[in-house]
Amino acid sequence: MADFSQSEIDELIRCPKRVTEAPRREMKPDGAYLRNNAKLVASIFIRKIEDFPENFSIGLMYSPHDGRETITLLRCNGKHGDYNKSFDPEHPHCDFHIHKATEAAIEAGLAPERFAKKTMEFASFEEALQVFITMINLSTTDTQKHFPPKTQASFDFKQ
Amino acid sequence: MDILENLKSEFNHHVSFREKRPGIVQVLAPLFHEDGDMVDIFLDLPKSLGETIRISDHGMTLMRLSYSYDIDTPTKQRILGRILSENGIEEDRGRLYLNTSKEGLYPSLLQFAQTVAKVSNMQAFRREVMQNLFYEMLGDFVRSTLSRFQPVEHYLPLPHRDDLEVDWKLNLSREMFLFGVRDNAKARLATLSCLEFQMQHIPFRSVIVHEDFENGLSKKDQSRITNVADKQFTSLADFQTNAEGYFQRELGAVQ
Repeated sequence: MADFSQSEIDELIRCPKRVTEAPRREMKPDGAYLRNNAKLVASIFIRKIEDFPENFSIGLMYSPHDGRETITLLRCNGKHGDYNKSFDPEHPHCDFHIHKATEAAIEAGLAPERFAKKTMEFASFEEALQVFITMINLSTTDTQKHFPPKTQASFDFKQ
Repeated sequence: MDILENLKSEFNHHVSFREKRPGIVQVLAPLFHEDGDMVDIFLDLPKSLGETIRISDHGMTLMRLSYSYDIDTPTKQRILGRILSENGIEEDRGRLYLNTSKEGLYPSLLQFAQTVAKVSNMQAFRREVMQNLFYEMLGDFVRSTLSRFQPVEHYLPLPHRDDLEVDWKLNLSREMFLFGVRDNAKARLATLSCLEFQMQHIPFRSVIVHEDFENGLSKKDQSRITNVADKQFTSLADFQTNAEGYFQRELGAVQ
């Protein structure tokens, strides 16, 4: 039997959440990437590669503190580059895509979030963050406070 | 035959390439991470023939690792450094790379991919790595931050009882016996040792540093060690934050 059932995974992703440890106002450079973290009932990690900003990952991890391994429940990813279709024609690596943990992957002894799907819901890092926030059901108050949607006026077009 | 065609031939055509940026080509090879994503390998091509080719991950490996495992201690940095140096890979501000010649590109690329896999496995085996590192990280801290207390490792308060060993003895006015505990077996040994030292009227105070008091020990072992120990820190992070202040207070209390 898998450590996490699909219903538990789904519930952990969509249950209402409040921020318990706030993220930084701006992402912090760390080596070759920018990073930010926040804690809820689970924890959020946000990463963006400096050399290829279209290559990012925004994830939700859960540590059960009951002897079970920490699990990555969800990752909203950017484009990791083109993909050789001959290896795996269905893999959405070259598109914006979402990894989600599944009971089937855990049962099969794979990384829980092994399965991924191409998404049309976002086409940029900023959009992905908002989609992610909606998927994990972060409170409106915390969203406005810590992850406010960027309006056109707030973008730095000099970058 | 140009560089890429040559490499493709050496891979028996099981590889292809896409331009990522001008002068930077992504290698599409059947090399995958556990989550199914492809291993990110790029070639920074030289502007002229004869110059070195740089095989690089452009920071992807350490970024992926950081989702759940940060290289945030000297010991972890040392392990990463050892993996890189043993495999001839260099790092520049988080980017792993290997400079090579046109002729050496194929073996260098395999060497680079193998190293990326090893570094990525620091994540896959994070629990084992962390458990193995607990005593090493505790030792690092004691030797550096608490050096003024003249720490002595593997101390035997009862020389004829080499089965009752103290991890670290610290010399304050009163001797402090420090035990690192990461599982039930070690908790029982620390409890038993402290009880025996008490029965032998050895003047000491016991300090227990747990890896994870709440989740690492059974309830009975938590109770037993709590009843015997003079002071406990529930995690290494807790000890690293509060140890100096605690020992300073202990020093003041007995002077």
